Amino acid sequence: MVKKTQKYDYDVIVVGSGMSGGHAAMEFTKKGYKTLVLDRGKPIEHGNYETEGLAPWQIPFRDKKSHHMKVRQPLQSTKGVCKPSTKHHYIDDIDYPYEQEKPFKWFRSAKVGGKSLLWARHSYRWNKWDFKANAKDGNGVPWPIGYEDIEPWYDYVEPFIGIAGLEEDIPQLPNSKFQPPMGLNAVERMVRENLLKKGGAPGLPLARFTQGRVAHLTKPTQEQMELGRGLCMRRDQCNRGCSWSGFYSSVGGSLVVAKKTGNMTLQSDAYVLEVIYDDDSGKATGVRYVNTQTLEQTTVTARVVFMCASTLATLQILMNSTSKHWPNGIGNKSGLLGHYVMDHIGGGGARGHKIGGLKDVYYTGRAIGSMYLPRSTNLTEEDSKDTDYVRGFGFQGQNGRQKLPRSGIGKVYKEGGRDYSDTWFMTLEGFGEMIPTFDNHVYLHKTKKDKFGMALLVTSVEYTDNCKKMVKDMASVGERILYAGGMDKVKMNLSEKDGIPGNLIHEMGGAPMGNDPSTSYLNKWNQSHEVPNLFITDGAAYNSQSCVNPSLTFMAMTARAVDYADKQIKAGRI
Amino acid sequence: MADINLNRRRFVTGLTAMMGASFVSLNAGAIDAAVAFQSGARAKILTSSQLELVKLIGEIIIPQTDTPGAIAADVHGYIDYMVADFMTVKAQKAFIKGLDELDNKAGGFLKLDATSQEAFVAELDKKAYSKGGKTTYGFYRSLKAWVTTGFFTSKEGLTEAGAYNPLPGPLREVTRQEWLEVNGWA
Repeated sequence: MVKKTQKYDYDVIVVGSGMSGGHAAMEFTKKGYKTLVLDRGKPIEHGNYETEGLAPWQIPFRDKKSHHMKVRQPLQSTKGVCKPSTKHHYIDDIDYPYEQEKPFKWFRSAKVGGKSLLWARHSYRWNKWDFKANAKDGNGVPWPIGYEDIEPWYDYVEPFIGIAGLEEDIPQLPNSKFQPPMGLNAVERMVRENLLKKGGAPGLPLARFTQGRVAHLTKPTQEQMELGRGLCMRRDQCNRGCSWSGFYSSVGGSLVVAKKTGNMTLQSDAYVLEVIYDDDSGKATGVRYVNTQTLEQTTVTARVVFMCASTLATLQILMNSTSKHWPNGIGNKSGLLGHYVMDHIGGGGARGHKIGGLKDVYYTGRAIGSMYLPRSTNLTEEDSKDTDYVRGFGFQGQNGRQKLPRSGIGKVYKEGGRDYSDTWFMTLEGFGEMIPTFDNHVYLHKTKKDKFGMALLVTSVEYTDNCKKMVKDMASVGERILYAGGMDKVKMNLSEKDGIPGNLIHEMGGAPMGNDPSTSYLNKWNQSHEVPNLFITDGAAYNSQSCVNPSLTFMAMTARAVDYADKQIKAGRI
Repeated sequence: MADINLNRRRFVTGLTAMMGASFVSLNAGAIDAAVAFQSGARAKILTSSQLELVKLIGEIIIPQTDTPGAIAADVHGYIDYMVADFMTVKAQKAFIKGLDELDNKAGGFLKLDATSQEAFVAELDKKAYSKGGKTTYGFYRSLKAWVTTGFFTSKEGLTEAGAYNPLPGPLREVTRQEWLEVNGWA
C-alpha cells in the first residue's frame, strides 16, 4: 500500500498539453490518476477551428502574409506556415519576449495542444546508431538507453497515433507500425527503384528513397474512429485544425482519451512560473502558475510533476524554480540544466529534373508528406571515408510537374497555368543533426521579466563548424542521389536561410539523461536524479537529436516514463 | 453576408456529412465566427481611371473564354484592396507610380481602341520576359503576378477556370484519357 503522508490537490500535474503533455495526460488518466493538465495557451475546441475549410477567397488577403502580422508577431511571421489562416495558433511575440545573446528563432504555439497542431507530421523512429552517437564521437552526454529500450514504446504509441508509411528494409530507418502509405507518384517510384537497384548512390551504399512517413490516417482503426477520427482527405491545411483529426494532434487524440476517463482537469491560460520544492521531503510539491487573462496566481499540489512544456519553456520554468536548496534551478546539482541545446540544421540540398517519359500519368487526389530520404553518410566505412564531419542528415523535399513558362497573355496564358508539362522536378532539403555542445545553452535574464512575472529566457546557441561542413555535404550528397535516382540537370542548392538555430523548430536538449547524477540531470527514466517526483519528457530530455523529426519519439518516450512513474508510485517510492 | 454565411455553414456541415455521422459536431457559433473573419468592407485607393486601367489590362492577360475572366472574378477590386490594405505605404506609392508610368508609356491607355490596347500589353509582355526584362519591366511583371494570383485565388477563377477541390482525397493515378474525361483539359 502507498503510504499517504500528505494531501494533494491532484495525483499528477502535467505541464503542457502538446505532443508530450497530451500523451502524459492520456497515460496517467487511463491508469486512474487524477491529473491536472496546465497549458499556457488559450483554449481551443476541437471541431471549432475558426479557419478550417475556408477557401482562399474567404481568407483575408487570400492568405498572403502581410506586414501587419509583423506588429504582434515579428518572429512567428517569419515562418512560411504562419499566415492569415494560421497565425492565431502562433504566440504573440510582444506578450512573450525573450532575449537572444546569439540569434535563435523561438517558434511557439498560442493554444492548448501546443505544436501538435502545427507540426509537419513527419514521423520516423530513431535507429540504434542514434542512441550511440554521443558515446561514439565523444560529444555531449552519452545516452543511458538504447534503441531496444524505446522500441516497445514506439510499438505501443504508433497504432494509436496512426502513421502512414511504406514498409522498407532500411537499417538506418526502422519501420513503424504503419497504416497504408499515401502512394508514390511516377517520379518518386523511379527514384526509389533506381536507388534500390543500384544499391544506393556512388559512395553512398545506404542511400534510399521512401514515402514520407506521416501521422495521417489512411485506414482509420476502430479505436481511432471511436475517438471521432477519420480518413485524411488530403486537404493539406492541417495547421488550421482538422475536425475529424485526419492528422494526429493531442487535441484530437490523447486529450480526447484523457477527457473520456473523467480523470483529467485541463486548465488553459495557465502559465507555469515554477515548480515548488519542499526542503523537508526533498520533493516537488506542485507548481505555481499565473492565469494569463486575470494575472491571478495559483499554487496547486500533486504527488508527481511531469514537465512537457516544450524544450525551452521547460528549461525556463525549471531554472526559474529556485529555492534555498536550489539557487540555480530545481534539481540542478550537475549544473547542466540549460546546456547542450540543439536544433536541426538545414540549408543544403539539390534540385533535379526528369525530362520526358512520364507524360501519360495524371493524378486525382493528393499525397501528404511526399518523400523521405534517410541519412546516408557516416554509417558505413564507404560512406564515412570522405566526410569531414560527424553525424548525418536526411532529406525531405518536394517534387511535381514543372509549370510552363509564365510569359504570354490571353487564352494561352490563362489555360497554360493549369497544363501539365512533361518535365518533373525533385527538390531535396537536408535536415542535419547538430552535435550537442556544452556552450550552446540558455539561461535566465538576471533582472528582466515578462508581464506575467517570468524571468526572460536568454538564448546562446549557435551552429558549430561541424554543422557548416555538413550543410555543404548535403548539397553534394543530394546531387549524387538525384543523379543515381535517374534525375537530369541536377543543381546543388546552398542557402543561408536556415542559418539561425530554432528555424527548423526541432529544438531539443538542456536536461540530459544519464546514469551519473554529476554529469546528467535526469536518470534513464526521464526522472530527476535529485527530485524523484519530477520528470521531463519533452525535447529537453534529449542528449542528442538524431536527424529525424522528433515528435514521434517524444510521445514514445513519454509513454515509457509514465509507465515507470506508475510503477514507482505503486511501489511507494515517489 | 447572409449568403456567405449560409454557404459556409453548408460547406462545413457538408464536410461532416461526407465524412460520416460519427464526427464531432460543428456548432453554428464557430461557423459564424469563421464567416465574420472573411467579411469586412474593402478599402479602396485607386482612382477610377487607375482602376479602369487595371481592369482592362487584367482582362487582356486573363480574358473571358468559355470560363470567366479577370473582370468577372473582380480581379481589379482585389488589386485595389490589396494596394490599399495589404501593401506598405512605400509599396503602395511604388505601385501607383508604376501604373501611371505604364499609362504614360501607352500614351494614355484608356484612349486606345481595344486592338491597340491588346497589342500594347502583348508587346509589353514579350519584352518583360525577354532578356533584361526582369528589371526594365519589373512593374508589369508584378502587376501580372497580382492579376494571376487574384484570379486563381478567386471563387470564379478557382472553381470555374481551375480545378479547386476542397476535399482532394487519396492519391490515385489515372491516364491522360481518364483525366480528360473528368476535367475537359490536360
